[in-house]
Amino acid sequence: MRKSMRITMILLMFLLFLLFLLFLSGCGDKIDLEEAAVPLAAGIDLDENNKLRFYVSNPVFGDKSNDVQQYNIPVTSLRESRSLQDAYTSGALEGRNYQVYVVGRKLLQHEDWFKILDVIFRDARNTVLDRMVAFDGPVEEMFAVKPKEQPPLPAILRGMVDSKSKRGTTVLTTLQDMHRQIYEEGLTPVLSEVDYDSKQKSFRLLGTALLTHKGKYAASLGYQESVLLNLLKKKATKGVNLSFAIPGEPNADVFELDRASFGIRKIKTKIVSSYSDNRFRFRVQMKVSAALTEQLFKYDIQKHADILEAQLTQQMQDQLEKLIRKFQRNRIDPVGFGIYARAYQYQHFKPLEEEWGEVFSHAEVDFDVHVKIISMGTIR
Amino acid sequence: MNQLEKHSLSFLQFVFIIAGIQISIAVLSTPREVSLIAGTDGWITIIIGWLITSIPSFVVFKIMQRSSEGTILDLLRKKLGRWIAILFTLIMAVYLGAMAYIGLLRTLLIIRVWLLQNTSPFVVLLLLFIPTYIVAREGPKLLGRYAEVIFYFLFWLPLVYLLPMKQGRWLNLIPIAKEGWGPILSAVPGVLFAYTGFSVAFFLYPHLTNKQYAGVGILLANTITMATNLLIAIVCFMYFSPNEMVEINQPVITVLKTIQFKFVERIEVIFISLYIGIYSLVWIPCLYYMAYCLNWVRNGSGERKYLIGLLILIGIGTYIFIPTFNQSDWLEHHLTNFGIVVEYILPIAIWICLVINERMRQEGQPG
Amino acid sequence: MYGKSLTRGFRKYRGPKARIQPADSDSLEANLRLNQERLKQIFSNTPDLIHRHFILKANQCQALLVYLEGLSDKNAINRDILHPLKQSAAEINEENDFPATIGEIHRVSGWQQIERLLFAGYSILFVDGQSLAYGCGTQGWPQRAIEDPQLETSLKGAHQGFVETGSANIALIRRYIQNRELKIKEFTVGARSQTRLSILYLSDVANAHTLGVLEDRIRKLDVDAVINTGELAELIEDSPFSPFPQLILTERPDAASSQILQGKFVVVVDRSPSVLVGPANFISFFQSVDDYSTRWTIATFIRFLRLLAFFAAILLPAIYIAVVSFHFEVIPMKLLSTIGQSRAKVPFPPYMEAVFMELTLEMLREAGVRLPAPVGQTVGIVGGIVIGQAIVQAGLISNIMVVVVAFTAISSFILPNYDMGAAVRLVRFAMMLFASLFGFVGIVIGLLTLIAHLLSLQSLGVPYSTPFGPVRFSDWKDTMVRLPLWLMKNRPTSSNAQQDKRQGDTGHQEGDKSK
Repeated sequence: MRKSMRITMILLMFLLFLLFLLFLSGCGDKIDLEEAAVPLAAGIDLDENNKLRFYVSNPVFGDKSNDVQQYNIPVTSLRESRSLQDAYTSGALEGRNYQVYVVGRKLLQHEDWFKILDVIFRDARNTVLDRMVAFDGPVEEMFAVKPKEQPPLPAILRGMVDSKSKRGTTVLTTLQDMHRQIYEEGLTPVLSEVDYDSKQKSFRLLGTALLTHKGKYAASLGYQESVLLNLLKKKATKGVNLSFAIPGEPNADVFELDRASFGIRKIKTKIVSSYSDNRFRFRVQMKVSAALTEQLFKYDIQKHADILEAQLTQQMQDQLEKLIRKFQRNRIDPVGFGIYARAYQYQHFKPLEEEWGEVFSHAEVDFDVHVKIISMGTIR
Repeated sequence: MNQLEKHSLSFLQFVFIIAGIQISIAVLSTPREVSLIAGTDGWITIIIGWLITSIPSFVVFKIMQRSSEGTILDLLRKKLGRWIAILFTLIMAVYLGAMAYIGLLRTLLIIRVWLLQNTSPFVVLLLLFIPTYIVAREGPKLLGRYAEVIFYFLFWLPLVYLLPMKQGRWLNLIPIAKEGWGPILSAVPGVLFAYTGFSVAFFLYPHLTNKQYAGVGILLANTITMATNLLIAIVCFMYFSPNEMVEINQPVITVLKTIQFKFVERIEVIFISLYIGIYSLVWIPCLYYMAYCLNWVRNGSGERKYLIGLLILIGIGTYIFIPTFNQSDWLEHHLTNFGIVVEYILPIAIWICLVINERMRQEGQPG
Repeated sequence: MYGKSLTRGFRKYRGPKARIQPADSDSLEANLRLNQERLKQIFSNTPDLIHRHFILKANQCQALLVYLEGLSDKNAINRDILHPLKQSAAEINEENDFPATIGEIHRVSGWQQIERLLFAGYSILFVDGQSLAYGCGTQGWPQRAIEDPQLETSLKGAHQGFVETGSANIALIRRYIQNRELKIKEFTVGARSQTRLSILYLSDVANAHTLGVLEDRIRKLDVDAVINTGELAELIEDSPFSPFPQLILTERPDAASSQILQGKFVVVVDRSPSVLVGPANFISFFQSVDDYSTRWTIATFIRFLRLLAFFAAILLPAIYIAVVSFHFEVIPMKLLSTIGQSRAKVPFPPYMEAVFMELTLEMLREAGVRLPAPVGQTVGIVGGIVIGQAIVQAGLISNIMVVVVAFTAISSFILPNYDMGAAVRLVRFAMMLFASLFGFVGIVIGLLTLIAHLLSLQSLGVPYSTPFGPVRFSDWKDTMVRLPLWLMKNRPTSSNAQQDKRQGDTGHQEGDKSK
């Protein structure tokens, strides 16, 4: 016992010595929050000379609250951008707290732009949960907006994407999701899309931007189309809203009174794939339990619910088919039909994996939609 | 009180020591290792590996049934002679040392990549030695308690992997055996590494209070390991697409990066730190038993001297040279082969020797 | 084995015999004058030794009564010794009944014993012509009344705390356990203080091996004096280097009694108002008497609070440091700007800020403890204003840090045991150091070290961290949760009791409802 105590003593001494040593040497990883520059929003785009530019928005902690530094820096690679940005800030720049990552439309016109972002995934300290947003216009314009007129850029963009993707009118794509989508052969990437309304002096959510498998911009989707896309992706949670014009109902004056809207209480989407005649076939079954939220024309639902249901079903099916045709025209598959094809038609899918967008444009997609109204709200 | 009674292990402690070694040695690498060869069917490989591991586990139990008073080393000396025992002891010492070193190395490398990029791994190592020494110097009794407490403290860690599951796709897993059974089977040797560690039962058995359950204990430990690996592997396969999976160095940690709570923006920082607790379950027992083996060969009086010696040796070694990730992968690859020999083939060989030896003795006796 | 290491600090002494000069010859003379001279020689410069000469009527000879003023009960001496002796006709000798109306009479013939009795408050009667003295039990020293315990106050528990008299303390415990199996083993410790230690235990419940360990350690003590129970605890505990208390000190008779009933040992130290309870385990420092007198659901909730407080008190400042100077990526965006704003003006790095504040807090606490209550309040007010307001407005400390410190302060005071609270405060500083050097990695390694250390601790040879490691699920009923008493049918296994069962099917059975 005595011996062990002596050993303990020696160890304690050693420990104290060690700690002393550590204090002297300091620690390389320590960087205090106020000494670091923690940009919350980043953007990349090409300028008019097709040079890559990097944008950051960087809150300044100090006397003036809500003060933000914003820079725009010409770079050749993102890693280089870090030292260039460092030159502008008082603290050491840390890419750990990005909330949003904005890509400009011009950059999206080019393939393989995603490879530039390599540094973000390679350095473990970087966040990969920043919401990726496609900006319809030059990103420079976005970062030129002075924060006095707006809530801070990162807050507003992140809030926009988070809340709207819950209602299905856009998609929530983080940087990591983007990485997954790029590496997933049976799927093409989608981003949420934003622009700047210069009249309102406000950012505006446009919907969803669809990219090709190499990351090139292909098409955009509005709110309703985004909702439908989310329904197909089985991403839509309960409570998303759809609105349709019912043919045959009269319009009055300037008002379109033929609209009927419903909220989805429950939806069951089933996608079945098959392969025949050298093409993939998909059958999409949707069973929608809807609650009417708006109905501008007069209609006796109690008696003729089935007729309204049939009309809504027809409208929804038409729009879905139109949406698929849009995808096929652009040779993209944002829904991920390819994943179904891989799971159930592996032998046919595997050789065509590399050119799935092309293959999908020849595929046949059938819809079998059934809308059932389960509630009509508090008024007739 | 004699040594055995003083260091008695309960059934669960026995299970947790073994499962701790198994899980921590390979939980991070298994999903990627299997997916390299078997793709998303790797989970089948994990189950096959579990089935295969049951055989040597049972053999270990059968061997140890012959020795309730001492460890495997005493048994071998009694039955097969001193030199065979010493040879075996040295092999075990080297093997356990390699396991401990790989475990420590992995921890240091992961800390360096994910948490402290600019801190010298040597300093972190010295820090890790504090709990290591406190636990290992007390021997099996404390090893058991430590493993048990760490298990109860951190058993919820794998459950967090259920969160990214929501974003994953079950469709990634089918069709089953998409490329046939060839790749699945050829990934089996690699996956056996995830189960190595059950051979410490050779040393733990005499301390166990309910010896008749030792076999069940090893199997239970294997099953815990299998379930953990399976859960994490399936989550990884579901979350990452087959092509992406092989692009990522540590998918098991990258998956954590995608979890976000309202109050904690990124949880992976906290989780990787907590993983250190799980990792410590491999090097602490392995270092202790390496010291035990060395002490046994020299007929020494205490493991503590050897333990301190080992710690100093590893410390100096790390100060001079730290392998890179690639070198550690290379080491791990060779350790896998070594482990298959030591843990899968050697027990069976010993068992056969023991059985033959007993037969011969029986025949030798008149009547 | 244990004693060796214990006495290392006292090595320069050669044991009590070498330290204290023995008398030349121990036995009394048969001559009063010689005895008196000897007495004067032994007790030189002892003005409080009272000599009373008188003539014994029955013996018709000189007698001398001596006692130490202040240690003896004067009334008893006058009324029960002097008065009867002067009146009595019976001769005083070895055979006859001693005429004084006193319960305790010792016939002594050695000077050492006389010395001991005098210091214990006895009065000694010397009779001329007899080589024998009579020690009469007239102890009566200044005593405090039994009061509410100061440190461990309780809402619903008893309001009697231990006092400075060992025998009174034993009596307080006996009031709770009226059973003949309650045994008391006495020891005298301290060459100069002659402190009486009594080990109380239930002989048919408590573990004999543990008793052996405890007795052994007490027997091997070789010190000048044991003034306080805390000193004794430090001298006999298992790991002197640990920050954690390994034996419970309590000033509550009800708490001590319930520990005895669980099969533990209580050491009563004469002249000390608290008793020692062992073997202790980690979780018993989180239990308080009130837990058992409130409803079990509420008691369970409070237990959770305490464990939460334990971890918060140890980890919170460390986590703050780690987050702010290593891992600010974990902070959500809104909080980030709040912390950033509040940190921006502060000239110190976070760990200095934290250490500075924690030290201030400790100083305030310590200042408050030592001061009389009215002044102590002033300290509180000054501390509250200075720390809460001025320091933030001066831009010396960020207000988030103030929140953190306040929270940890409250957390560390929630722990019912003062010693554990103190240990937690100490560990907190170590954690802060680790966190300031290595961030979360440091915290986790610190935690692992803490766990390993707690697991390796023993209290009187019994694992300290039961029932968590080794895990004993049956004991968990009274740890993080406090299940109804009628479910705790067995004694906790951590006390290694010989007799497991402590109650039968008490109440709350199916049958009860029908009645």
